[in-house]
Amino acid sequence: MMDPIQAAWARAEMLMRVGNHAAAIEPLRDVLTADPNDAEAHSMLSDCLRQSGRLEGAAYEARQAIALAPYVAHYHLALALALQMQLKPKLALAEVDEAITLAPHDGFAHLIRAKLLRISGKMEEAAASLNQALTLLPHDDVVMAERGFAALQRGAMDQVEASARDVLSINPDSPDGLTLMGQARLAAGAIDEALDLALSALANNPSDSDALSLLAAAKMNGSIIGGLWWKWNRLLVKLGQARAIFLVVGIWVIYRWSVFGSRDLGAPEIVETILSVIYLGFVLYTISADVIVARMISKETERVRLKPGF
Amino acid sequence: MRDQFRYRLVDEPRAGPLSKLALPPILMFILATLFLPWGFLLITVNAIALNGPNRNREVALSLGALGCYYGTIAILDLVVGSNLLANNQAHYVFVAGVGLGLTLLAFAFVSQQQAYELRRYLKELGQ
Repeated sequence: MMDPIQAAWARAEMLMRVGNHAAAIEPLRDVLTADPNDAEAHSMLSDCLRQSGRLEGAAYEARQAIALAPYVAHYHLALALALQMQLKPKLALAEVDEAITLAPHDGFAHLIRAKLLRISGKMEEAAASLNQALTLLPHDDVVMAERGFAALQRGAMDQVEASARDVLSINPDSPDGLTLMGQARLAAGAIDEALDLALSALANNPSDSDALSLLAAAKMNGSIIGGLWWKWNRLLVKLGQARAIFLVVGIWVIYRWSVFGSRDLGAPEIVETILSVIYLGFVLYTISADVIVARMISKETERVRLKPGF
Repeated sequence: MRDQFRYRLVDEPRAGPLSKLALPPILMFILATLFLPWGFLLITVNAIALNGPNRNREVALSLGALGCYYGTIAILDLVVGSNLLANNQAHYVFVAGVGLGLTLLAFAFVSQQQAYELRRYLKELGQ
């Protein structure tokens, strides 16, 4: 009979393989309850927490793994990924550089470096790291997909489509390849096709944030309520938590100043009413659009969830 | 295995004596902004009840928001009293002060919301 800790390991690995990272947290917790000094379990737990959006926990667990085994490159990569999602690109890059020092021939370390540099807008350095990754892993679909994501960031949609074809020729089920192809189709105005590709990508990896992003973009395309909300939401995400809060409170301050200003300038009362209606409309729209869009997206993902094998 | 002996994840709220009293942070935030400035204390009380990983930070932020509100009033009192600022100009500065307080409160709210969502999710899992 299998030892309970071995069984927990096996269950965690199986759940991670099928992309159910949130469910893998519990068996990994069992493993760590039995042995809190298991660095690999801390690192795997970090991956699961990150995939579930629990970034604070993910960074903490990766640090625990590093404290126990500082010479293992992929623990530094786990921390880098958590830090990158917490919008701390400099710290993330330092961890990736540490990983590359420890394992200079790790293609994935170079790939993550390329991703981080691309997100920070350092396209030339990103291209150099990506070339390094492609040299080390010439036939890896995930590495090839990064070329497509770099092209997507530059807005070169023909290159996005070409990269997507390359990726899908290696792995026809690649969520990255399907997402890139979906982005290319969306740019070409084929919204239904983009939607199907996003759903196919999600069927292969339900927690793929790029595929979810494509699904929302395709769903919002052509809808006035959803389209505006999508742009506003993307802006807030891009700004990060702190700047987004400053922006939202700033809008309130400007609204209040405009009301005082209209009074001080002796403007008719209707001006104050109009300002209040605009502000109230903005608040109500933000709250209601959020709910409407969330329902629209969950309806779509429900369709995939009903398919066998999801 | 009994819960207290299991490996604890750093981001999970710990069950405390007031856990059952914790309410949705969005509701607390809306009420706090409706009943300025003492409404800020609702976020403080909720932070203590929720007992999330950033409880002390949330308490400090919400008390800081209250401090911002009364601090702005006190400073404006002095400035207007010594004729450095006209009464109508003071309104603009006051709004900026309240805005600063709301910013602190929003940080506390976001942190509390994450802990609340996580607690709800763990409850759904039956933990």
